[in-house]
Amino acid sequence: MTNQLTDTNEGVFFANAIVERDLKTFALVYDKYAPSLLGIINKIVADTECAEEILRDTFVQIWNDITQFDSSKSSFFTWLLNKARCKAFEQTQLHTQEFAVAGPKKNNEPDHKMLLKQRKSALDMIYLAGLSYEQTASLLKISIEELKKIVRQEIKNL
Amino acid sequence: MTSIYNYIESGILEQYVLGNTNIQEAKEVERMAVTYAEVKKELESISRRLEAYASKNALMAHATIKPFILAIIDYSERLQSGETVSYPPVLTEKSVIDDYSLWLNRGDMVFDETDSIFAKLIGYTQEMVTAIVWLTEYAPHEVHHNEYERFLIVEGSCNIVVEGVVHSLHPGNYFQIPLHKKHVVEITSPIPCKIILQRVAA
Repeated sequence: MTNQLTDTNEGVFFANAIVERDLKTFALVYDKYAPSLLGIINKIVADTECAEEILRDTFVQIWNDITQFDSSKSSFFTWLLNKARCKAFEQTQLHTQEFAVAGPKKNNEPDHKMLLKQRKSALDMIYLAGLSYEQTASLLKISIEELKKIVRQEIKNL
Repeated sequence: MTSIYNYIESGILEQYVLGNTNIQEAKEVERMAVTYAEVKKELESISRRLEAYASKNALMAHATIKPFILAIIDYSERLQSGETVSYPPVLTEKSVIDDYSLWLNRGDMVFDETDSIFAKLIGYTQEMVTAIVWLTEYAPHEVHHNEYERFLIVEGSCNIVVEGVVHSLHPGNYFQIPLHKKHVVEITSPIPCKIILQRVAA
């Protein structure tokens, strides 16, 4: 319980320091969170060099968007993770757009569907492929109610 | 009591944490969290699990990523504070330290001793990034596929090892890293090695 409070206070401390444009504290935020963010970005884009560029862009975005952080809505770490995911999805969506222009592959199966097949769980599809609950439920041919329960279980099993 | 249990078991809280609820659903979750401690606790627990998952899969970024991020932000803040955009010359084998004296002599271009690699951007365009970089230890190996990286040594000395070949560099020396080749920078001077570094799209 005390741990949670400390984490919350620390997150708020970090956010306030960044609002104040304290670059030294921002460097500490990088040290603490960059590896976790890079891990998730890499899981999304599956390319370490690209992932590092996205990590760089993510931290610049965090600096620019810091006033959007609302400690009543999420923890600081979760907010950072979502920033990283957003940046990574911009990249994967770019590829989907490129595909949309270039057209489907010879065997008539779209590239992004191949990528999706590699996603092992419903949570993967939502968390790492950036699909909505509607899209995921539709792909898995289940109702959204069923999907919600499956996702709940998958997060418990993480 | 049972309805809170059912509410939590429905998986709506996970949907909220994953950012997939619509505005009404989100507002309801937030209302429930304020009213019921169990809901708030469960939201926090879900976040923690996802955070732990991220931490478990953490990866270290290359040592140059952090100084570059800090340099970009420092530069952006400087511009916002009124610094005018300037255009450092293209770095070539004919370049001399004096070509960059306008930037090197600035009072704010000083080494902040906290990290082993420190950078200050002096030029930043789509095609070209130029920085003053201080290296104190060594820069671990990198490979560039899409951009040329060029060095001009200003102070101190270093060895740039490109796939086993050692290039010993001193103030005034220029070097361009070949594409697709692994390189490591080792500092050979007791003082930090200060360089003008330029990256140009290949």
